[in-house]
Amino acid sequence: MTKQTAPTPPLAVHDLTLDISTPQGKVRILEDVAFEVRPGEIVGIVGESGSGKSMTALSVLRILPAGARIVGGRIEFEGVDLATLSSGRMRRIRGRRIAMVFQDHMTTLDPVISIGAQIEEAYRIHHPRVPRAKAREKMVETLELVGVPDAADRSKQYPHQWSGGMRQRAVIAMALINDPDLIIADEPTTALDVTIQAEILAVLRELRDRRSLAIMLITHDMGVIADMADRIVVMKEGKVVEMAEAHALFSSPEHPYTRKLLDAVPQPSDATPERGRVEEAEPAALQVSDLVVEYHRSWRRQGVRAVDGVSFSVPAGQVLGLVGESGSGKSTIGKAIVGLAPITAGSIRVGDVELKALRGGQARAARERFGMVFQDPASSLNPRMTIGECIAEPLVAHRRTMSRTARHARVVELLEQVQLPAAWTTRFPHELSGGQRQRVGIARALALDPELLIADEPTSALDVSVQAAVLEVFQDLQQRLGFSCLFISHDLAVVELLSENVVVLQQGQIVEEGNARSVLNDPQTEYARRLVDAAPFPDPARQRARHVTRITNV
Amino acid sequence: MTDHGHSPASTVDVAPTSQESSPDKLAWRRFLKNPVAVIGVLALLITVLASVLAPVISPYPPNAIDLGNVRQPPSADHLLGTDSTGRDVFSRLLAGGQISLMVGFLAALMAVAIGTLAGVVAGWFGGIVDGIISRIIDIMLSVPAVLVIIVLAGVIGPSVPMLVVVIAGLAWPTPARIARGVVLSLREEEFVQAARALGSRTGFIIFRHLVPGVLPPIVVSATLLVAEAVLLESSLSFLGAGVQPPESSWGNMLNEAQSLTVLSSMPWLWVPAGLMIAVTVLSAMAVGDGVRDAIDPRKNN
Amino acid sequence: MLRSLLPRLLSSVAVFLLIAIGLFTLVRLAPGDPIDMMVPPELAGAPRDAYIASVRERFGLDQPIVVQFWRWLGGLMTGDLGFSYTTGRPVGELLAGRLGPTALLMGSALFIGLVIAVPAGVIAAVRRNTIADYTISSVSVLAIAVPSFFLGMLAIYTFAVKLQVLPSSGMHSTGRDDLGDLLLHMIMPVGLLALANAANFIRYVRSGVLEELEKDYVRTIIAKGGTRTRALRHALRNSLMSLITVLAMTIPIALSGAVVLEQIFSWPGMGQLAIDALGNRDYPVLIGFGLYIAVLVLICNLIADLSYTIIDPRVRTAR
Repeated sequence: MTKQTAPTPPLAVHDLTLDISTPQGKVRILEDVAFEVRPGEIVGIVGESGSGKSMTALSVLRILPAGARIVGGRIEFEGVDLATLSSGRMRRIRGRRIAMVFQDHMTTLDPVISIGAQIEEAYRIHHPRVPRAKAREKMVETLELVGVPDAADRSKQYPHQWSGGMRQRAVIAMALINDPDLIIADEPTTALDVTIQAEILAVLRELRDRRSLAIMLITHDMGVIADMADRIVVMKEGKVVEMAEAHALFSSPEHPYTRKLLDAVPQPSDATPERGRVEEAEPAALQVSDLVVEYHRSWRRQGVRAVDGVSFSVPAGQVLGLVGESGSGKSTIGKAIVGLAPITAGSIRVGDVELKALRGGQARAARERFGMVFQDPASSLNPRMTIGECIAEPLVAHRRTMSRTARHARVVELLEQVQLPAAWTTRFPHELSGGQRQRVGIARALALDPELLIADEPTSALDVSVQAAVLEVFQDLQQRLGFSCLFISHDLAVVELLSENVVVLQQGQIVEEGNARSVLNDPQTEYARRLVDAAPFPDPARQRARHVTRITNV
Repeated sequence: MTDHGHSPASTVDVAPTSQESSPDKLAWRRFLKNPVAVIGVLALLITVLASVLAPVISPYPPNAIDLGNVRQPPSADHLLGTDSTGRDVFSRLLAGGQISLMVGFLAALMAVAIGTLAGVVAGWFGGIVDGIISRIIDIMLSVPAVLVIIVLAGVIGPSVPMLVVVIAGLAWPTPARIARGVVLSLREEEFVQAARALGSRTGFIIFRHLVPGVLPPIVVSATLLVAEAVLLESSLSFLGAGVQPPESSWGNMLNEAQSLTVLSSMPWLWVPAGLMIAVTVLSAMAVGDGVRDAIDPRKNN
Repeated sequence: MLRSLLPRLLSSVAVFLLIAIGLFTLVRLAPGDPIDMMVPPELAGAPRDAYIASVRERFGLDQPIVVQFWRWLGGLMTGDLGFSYTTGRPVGELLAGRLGPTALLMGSALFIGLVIAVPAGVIAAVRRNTIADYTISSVSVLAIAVPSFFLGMLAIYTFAVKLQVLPSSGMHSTGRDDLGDLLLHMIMPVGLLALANAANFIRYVRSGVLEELEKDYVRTIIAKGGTRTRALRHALRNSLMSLITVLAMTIPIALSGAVVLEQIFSWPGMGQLAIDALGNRDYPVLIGFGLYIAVLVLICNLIADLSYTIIDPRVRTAR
């Protein structure tokens, strides 16, 4: 009888089981997944790649990829089982009662139709008799609701004319236009910068509060989930391993996997003592002065200035974090050092060598002094070369006299340093997982014992738990081998974990620099503060407190 | 601290497969499982062998006139009968295959060589070089080869070397566009960036990283070009702008059969040559499609 | 938009001039003297030389080569392409006279080809890996692989010789020029050319639609509650943008097919004119034909560029 007061869940998933048929046979993707979403509630579904969280979302709307079949369980939406509903009735639910917000704002919209028309279409599909003018009015109104300025005019534009954050607002407006009861948001902010992510999450939260909308939020990001969810479902390999209220889950996780997941999130522990400012007396491993990088798009157009007068130095044996959002020029600086971007003005010195003056063979020879680790483990190794050949590439380039056996010995040694089996030299990259491939990337970068390592977002394509392991390998090697490192990342927590000093970039210029801990805990400039505030913390209580201060600040 | 790293923190991070096989070997295995492509390879092999061995197999010299045995239907003496001047059709078919296939393969080979070079150069260097080459490719792609060769044949006279050179000269934009596209995307791949960043020589990058990537799609393009060149040669020979009589080619054998009498009552004079063209072109296309599907299995599944 | 097209227009003019110079040089370097073939065989000795000299004078062949070129180029600008060696008639007039039949053949074949190809390509894409797809794809591969002249001969054998329901050649039966007769004569050449065009387009449409159907925005439309038909409409609209460009670019290529079929069906178009000129070594006609192809290729390229700029909002609204 007490149940009466509890609101009936609009969505209740019972024992959902899903198979995908592949050429190798059937693969079970989801097994006995069960959870419910109540009105006005944000339920977070969290898990790493392969956990089945996105498949769960797609199952609810029955927009599964070819070959996927729901083989068991029920998906109850207001008492109706969506798993067995006729396709005609299912269509009337999609977009009208349950709407979806997808991850990639670049591709979710039709590129050749105006944004307004696409949002109107979502309305007119379900209200075919409503006159066009009415639908248009509704569209403008909804765009305004999600915070798009000049909605009436801007809705005439095409997706490529909008920024990423604005496009994602448009996608949300498209989901909202029919006043659905439930919105399924699949990684809605993953493709966005942190400050934009914070805005989009605020929009979703506000909608929930104003309209008592239920939201099913799928994400890999523990910070986002802590920021948003009332209740959390943790998934692993197609199964629900734990389900709890957000506070309970974060404060006392029950399942070992949940604990591992939470531990893996890089968190600055307050216990670490401050290291204080670095003594400048030490010789710098890398010295960048007044660096300007301009790309010349073509002879008719003006060049684009990606880096605009940046100076910093990396002391020998230390890690410097380079932080910024997309377009800040952080990756371009890394590229300029290794010769993948032009040095338009200023200077870059590695040790006592001025890179700007070097040309041709000299420039090539200078590269043996630094290694680089790239972002995407899927593309940073040539798929047609074995692991051994990949790691040996720097040796082939710079140690021409080295014998084949000596090279092999070095490759084996490097594999062991990154904790991979020595026998893997003959394997091909596609036979390795993302984390393993990234270790191979590190091994390749270290092959020549470089003084300086440049790591460009080396872990941002990896799952958290994998990231933790790779970072640990990295940290261990850095301490043992003592190389200096320029660590480029958008992830403040990772940078704080690894580096003594940090440089914050915005639109090609330095906005703040100094000791990592003090910059990230007590930013002095407005932009750095915004960046730090926007990064969600994997702690619901702390996030809630931040919302409050944000509101009081306004 | 280090021992923690030995076991990956998550079971998700496990390698998908471990068959120790290069992507090219996997593609080759997929190719062998495609019956249409394998039949194409066999048919093409038989045709090529028959043409190469033509001097040995041919029962008669292909150009030997026998005015006493004109337009004979197929018999034990003449497997496919004789033509208007008493020449053995079967022998002419084999000899014609020699020329048709030679023109096809040579022209395709030349076109691929030119095209790959131009495409790689355009893709790798970019900028104005790419702009000029791309513009040429754009225009050349819509140039009708048959018509150009008719004009050239009319002015400088038809000949087999002219045919090969002009077909190659007009067909190279197709492989060039493909090579350019592959190089453009490879250039952005991190492993190529990595090779440049770590100081590999340009030669090493081109031969270890770019060529192996460009090669498979170029093989596809090459087989399709063979098909196209064989078709072109036969069309031109049929129109009288290609291989000139008495030299035989599949195309001009059909040309000689254009009169209504031959057409209606002497099918052995034109049906075999027509079928040979169709079979050769079809097999080459089947091989090309098979290679493409083997390289990119996702595309057709 | 004009600013992006102007360089293209200029480069087209430059390319045309290059081709013109190339063709002109080619003729002057060509082996053999066509005038020899024009001399009546009964002439010999001095009367023969006098005849040749008079012909040379008439065609301006006695002038220095540079003068010849400038005259020729000036003539080109005013539409004067010289005179046919065999008939003595102006080349421009000859070409223009053959334009109609060829345009009729090509135009109707392109139209019918598209009408067949778009639905067939869409069906093949939507019903991928079904019997419908295999049938459509196989027919289109066959239509590409079997040479059109062989198909033409098979068609004549079947419909004109055996069944005797269709005329085997020409545009009109002798003494008739009504529309019904023309249509009857058009069936085989137009049908075969349309088939060849359709076979090409089907591959473009199929792969284009398949590519678009895999994109995320299609899933978005389904998630909005749209039907599969609606999603397909979006995908088709996206893929047709590139198809229009392809269509413009392939018009000159389609002319090749038309020439071959004109030869088989004795269709009195430009193809026949060119083949006759090839046999007679009628340089002015061949050169005129070559220039005509060059202009067609360049114009179709410009149309392709222009259509792309107008249709695709991503290009149209780019700065």
